[in-house]
Amino acid sequence: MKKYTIIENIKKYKEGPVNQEWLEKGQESLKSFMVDNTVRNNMVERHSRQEGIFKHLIFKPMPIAIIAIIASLITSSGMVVASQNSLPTDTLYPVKLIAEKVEEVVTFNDVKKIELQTKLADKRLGEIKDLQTQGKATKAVVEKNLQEYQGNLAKAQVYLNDINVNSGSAAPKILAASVNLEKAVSSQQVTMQKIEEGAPSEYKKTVTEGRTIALSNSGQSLKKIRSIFDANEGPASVNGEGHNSDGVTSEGKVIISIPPEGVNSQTVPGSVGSDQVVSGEKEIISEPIASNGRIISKESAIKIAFEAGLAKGIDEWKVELNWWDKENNYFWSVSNTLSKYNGQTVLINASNGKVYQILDYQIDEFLPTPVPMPVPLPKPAPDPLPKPITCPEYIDCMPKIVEPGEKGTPCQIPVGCEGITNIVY
Amino acid sequence: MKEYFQEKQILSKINQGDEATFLEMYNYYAPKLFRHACYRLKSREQAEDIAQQVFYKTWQYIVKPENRIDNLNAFLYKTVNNLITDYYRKPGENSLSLEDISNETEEKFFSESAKTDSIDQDLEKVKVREAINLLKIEQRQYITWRYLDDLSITEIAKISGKSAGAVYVGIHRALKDLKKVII
Repeated sequence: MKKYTIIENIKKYKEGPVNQEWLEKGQESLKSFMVDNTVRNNMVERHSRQEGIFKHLIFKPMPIAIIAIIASLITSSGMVVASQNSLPTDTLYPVKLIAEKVEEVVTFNDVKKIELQTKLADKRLGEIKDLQTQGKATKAVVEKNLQEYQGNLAKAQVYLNDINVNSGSAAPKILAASVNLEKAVSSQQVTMQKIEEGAPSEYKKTVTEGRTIALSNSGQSLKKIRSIFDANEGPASVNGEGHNSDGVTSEGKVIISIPPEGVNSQTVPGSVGSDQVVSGEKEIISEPIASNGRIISKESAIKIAFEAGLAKGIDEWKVELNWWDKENNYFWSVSNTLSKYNGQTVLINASNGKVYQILDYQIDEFLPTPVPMPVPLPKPAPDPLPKPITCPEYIDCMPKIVEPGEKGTPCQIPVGCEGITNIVY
Repeated sequence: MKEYFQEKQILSKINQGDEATFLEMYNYYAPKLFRHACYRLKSREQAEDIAQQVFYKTWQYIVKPENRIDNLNAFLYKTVNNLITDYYRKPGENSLSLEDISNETEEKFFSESAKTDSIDQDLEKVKVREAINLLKIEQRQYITWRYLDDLSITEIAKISGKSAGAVYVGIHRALKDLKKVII
């Protein structure tokens, strides 16, 4: 029997029937088994994968709080403080994680929760970077920290989604939280890029994947920003003076009341800073405001350009806000540098984030000096008219006896004299 | 579908104990694992029982926070392999060696699917099955994993704890031996 036939015969067993009733019953019993053996939030508990005495701890919110309180009373917070700069490979690292868990448990405000998760996500990335600098980063640690990082971001997104967009009074806070989250993701992308650049092949792929997942997930906060705009077409002012709707500047500030159209710097009645504090009258140095009073942030523009497929290029992207007469609107231009001669630019509607178009550009000054066309060599002047040949009437071809040293007459009709000169003997 | 469960996000959901994804996984893998167990066990009921146990074990594994599955396919087949080995290690009626397994189960189990096959084809299939029983345990496992379960060389290497090269050579030799055994 041939090998092929043998394999075919083995594969036939794959088609054996399976009892559907057994399958269904099995599914039911599996469901109840899962209920009886509930998975506690794995993402949170991954921290417990530590060495030493902390290895077997099971982290539940209340026990953590109690342990932390007791621990802090005994040590007068010394250990917790000391652990704050610890890295995943350090003995004190679990203490740091416990402290973070406690902070998570005692944070109730949704916006604060988003901020905390963003901060924790930052910490996880920072730890990878520090470990990398110290040459202690391993694939396992990087993978674990990236998972934590993604978990923190995912939680932040969940908290963000839980906030009711239609609640007009909360809109500025949500906006600020969304913008801050978006900003954090952008800066974290930069950090991850740096980690990726310095990563050995051992975990480079892991970082790249982590970066892509983080970027794809971060789109939700952008959607949230848009949904807030959509839900609050009217004024979302703090002072209720009926100003136009919010705008988001590239500095991440949320302008509650906007200055008149086209003004770059303006005193506005109030603004919300990244610290969530609503300030009073303040001069906002911002991007000019578009006709509809909205401008997406610089970070968002970069993200949109990334999603539109703008290649990374060989240099940092250049981002500018410009006015477009034709569209009667502001637009972001995000340009990459593909070589020192050319690149691509994505033009994005600054009001709604739609991509106008992707252009190829060339830098004339860097264009290679055109190779001079070879100067045609002057054509040789045409030969002057042939001089009239004086053809002898005949050539004497009679054989002669030539003396030594004497040159004999060649018996040949000169060129051009054919038909004129005759040969005679 | 196999690739679907290897996607990072899906795997991450399973690792986090997402019940819906886990049940999705059950629906896809239960028939496969059952067939695998059926192929190697003498009793259909035992095969069903072991296939079911694989999912309980997997769930218990991921419940523990320190655990994580990297390759679902390899993990499930390794679990089923361990359970089958345990089954044969038990004293009493299960203490048959793999060589002693009768073909009764397979014949009973596969007779329904073979109804449509011609007698010649059926005979060929039985011949191959009998010949596989004559191989060494390791060779038999290689053949089953590779051609019945469609596992990749890497996955088999992961389950068996051998290098990919050794697995590749092992499969090649197993097929060669199988060819010799089949008259």
